[in-house]
Amino acid sequence: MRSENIVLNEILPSSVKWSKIIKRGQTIQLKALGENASLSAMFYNASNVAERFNSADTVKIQWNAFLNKNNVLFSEMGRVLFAITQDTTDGLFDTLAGISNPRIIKENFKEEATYDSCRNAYYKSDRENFLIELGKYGLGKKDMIPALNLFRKVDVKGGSNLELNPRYAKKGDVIELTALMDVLLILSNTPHVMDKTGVYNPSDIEISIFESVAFKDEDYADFSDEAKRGFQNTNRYFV
Amino acid sequence: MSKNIENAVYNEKILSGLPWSGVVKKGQTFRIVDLEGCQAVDTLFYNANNFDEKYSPTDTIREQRSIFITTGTKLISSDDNVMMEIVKDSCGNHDTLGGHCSAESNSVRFGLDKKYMHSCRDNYLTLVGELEMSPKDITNNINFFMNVPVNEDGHLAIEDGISKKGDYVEMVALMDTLVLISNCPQLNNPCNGYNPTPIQLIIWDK
Repeated sequence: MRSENIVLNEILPSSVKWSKIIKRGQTIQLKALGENASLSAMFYNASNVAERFNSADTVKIQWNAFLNKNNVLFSEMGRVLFAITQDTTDGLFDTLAGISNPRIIKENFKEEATYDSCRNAYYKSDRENFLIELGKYGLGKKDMIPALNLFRKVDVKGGSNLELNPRYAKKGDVIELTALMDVLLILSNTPHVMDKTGVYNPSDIEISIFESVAFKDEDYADFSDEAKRGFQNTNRYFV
Repeated sequence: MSKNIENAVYNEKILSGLPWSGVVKKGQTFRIVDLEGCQAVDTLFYNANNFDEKYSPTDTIREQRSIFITTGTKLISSDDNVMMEIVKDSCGNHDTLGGHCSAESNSVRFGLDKKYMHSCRDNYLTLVGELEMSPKDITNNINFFMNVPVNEDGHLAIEDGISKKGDYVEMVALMDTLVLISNCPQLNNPCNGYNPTPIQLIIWDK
């Protein structure tokens, strides 16, 4: 489902935000460059931002609160924004816990790390990162959605209790997302909102975007019937 | 003041499949009654004075460390404020993960030919249109009385309801709260026992 030709390669440093429109047929690879990777993502149909990632539909339609390779990320329009086409982390995704805000950062990382004391190493929260990056597209609070967290997972214990899974991605682990439409992707490279280690040190992430390829029917072979209908709906959108 | 039907300031029956909106003022108590049992009541909450502040499913379940809504749950807003607190619940638990049905998700879940059935998202879009809100204000709602167990491996399914005839959930508003409800019309799964039924909505002053 993807080309070998990289059209963009860059490093996303610890704690910062990033955004780009990933074009239909392109694949974005996110590689953990350390042992403490943790990203949060919000994403939208770039041509109609009222269509956006819907975590509820994504887990309900695929019968699982957790995500893995060959799952898809649905919008509320029954269409696929991204397919998860590679995942060497064995399922380090989280749709349940959401994002951090300044209050939570202060509680989770006791020491004060302000711009005044730390300059650009200050402890940023997801909320600030997303609001800033959304603003660049004319978007704002209304566009803050239940996020997809990557490289960390939250378990549901005993049928109801939320616990941050202690497992981290290994250095060099990759997650690849193939765009089924032009997707506005916003990333925030911050500790997971439930991370209570007290160490604010999310790993750098290497971002590679592979050039667009046309979709073929065999690309969908390993996906569920529900995902296939999502691909069908998405393809019809582009007729 | 003891709460009974005579001293309620609002008391209406909402038929199956209908949308409803109303404001529960700070200090008022809001009760949703599942009149016949096994109904799903898709519900969203907003700061009545600023729709940009809305119920946040992720903040609500993370702060209480549980995916279910029941007595003691505080409904947290997208601005980190408590909007409502659940004070009584005769059912047991209520879903936060499943969201609402839509024409488009029905087409993916149940077949492309299921697109033109009535859905909760149609109800929400009607309400946000009438109230001059934005479709962007719609988020993952609470499904009162809907039963969605989650296994250790993450498997999740909408299963037969566990609410009985007359079960109710009651909450107190900590801010003036706009409530949007879709009394779920889904006919393709057991969220409402394949038989959508009416609910009763009751509000009492402090």
